[in-house]
Amino acid sequence: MLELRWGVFWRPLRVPSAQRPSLVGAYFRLHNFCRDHATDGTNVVAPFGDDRIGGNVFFSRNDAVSTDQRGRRRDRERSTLRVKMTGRVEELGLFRPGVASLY
Amino acid sequence: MRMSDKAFNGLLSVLRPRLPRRGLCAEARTAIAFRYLGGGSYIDICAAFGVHTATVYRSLWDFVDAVNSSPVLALEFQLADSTRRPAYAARFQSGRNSPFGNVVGALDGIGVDQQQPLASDITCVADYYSRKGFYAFNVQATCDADYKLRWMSCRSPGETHDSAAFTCTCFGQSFSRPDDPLTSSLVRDGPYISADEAYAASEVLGVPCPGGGKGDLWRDAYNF
Repeated sequence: MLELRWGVFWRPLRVPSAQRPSLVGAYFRLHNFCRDHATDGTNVVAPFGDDRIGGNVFFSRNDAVSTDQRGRRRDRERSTLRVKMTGRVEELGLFRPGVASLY
Repeated sequence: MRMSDKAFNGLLSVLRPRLPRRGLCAEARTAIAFRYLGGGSYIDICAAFGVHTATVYRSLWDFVDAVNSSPVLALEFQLADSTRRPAYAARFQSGRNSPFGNVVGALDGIGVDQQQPLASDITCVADYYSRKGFYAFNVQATCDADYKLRWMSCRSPGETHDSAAFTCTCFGQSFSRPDDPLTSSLVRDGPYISADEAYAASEVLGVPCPGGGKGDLWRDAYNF
């Protein structure tokens, strides 16, 4: 949606590295402004305002990979939240469309 | 897509105090910036507005600075406020007719196409070559049920995986620490952010089961 709205994304961006975060931040704010004129908005304060400024590039360790692992094992990742949500789907008896007719 | 006069004037009234008073008027600066951001060539803009190339770019950056410094247009995601979370979740549930009542946002990343960065500007140019075959930088963003962007971060180069890029952000750093006040508050109260399979599963990020349902009917239904 962002790319469709802003034609400048249709081709490679010609902007110095240091100015990219501010440019993308402006796109996002203008996108919200356009959405506000289609729906009602509320004004609240963002708790993570620092992410909108600065263009530092750094790498930190992926929290899903420990040093003794060769890579991420998606099937080993455990999430109580996911189990709870799957239980909720089962509780409501919801199927993927097209599957219900088979049962 | 065209902007209505009312919307344009509304934006102008917000930006006017933050745009330079000398030189071009605020209306012309805003129109030039919008034309450029909409994909217009600077050559066409110069001809249409009768200005020099330097004026086009100066107007663009004045406009961008004005937008970024305006508190009215600031991105807003009050996840730490427990009174705001039910409002976010209610809009998701009513808008999508979803069985899950605790989704407060949707997280994803995009690679924004850019020209090959200069070696003098960054540490490693190859880091910016994404798997999609072009130079890019990674932008992580969260939107609400109205498709409004609530939070964003563009700190990582295009080669970075979405999960790693998110972990680099303040948000990701908070979520990776169970003792963080925000994370513990979210885990306690139940709201979470939905994301795609690229992200690591956790108690505050609802992601699909890896590899599809694997024959399990309910896992498959949950993934859908």
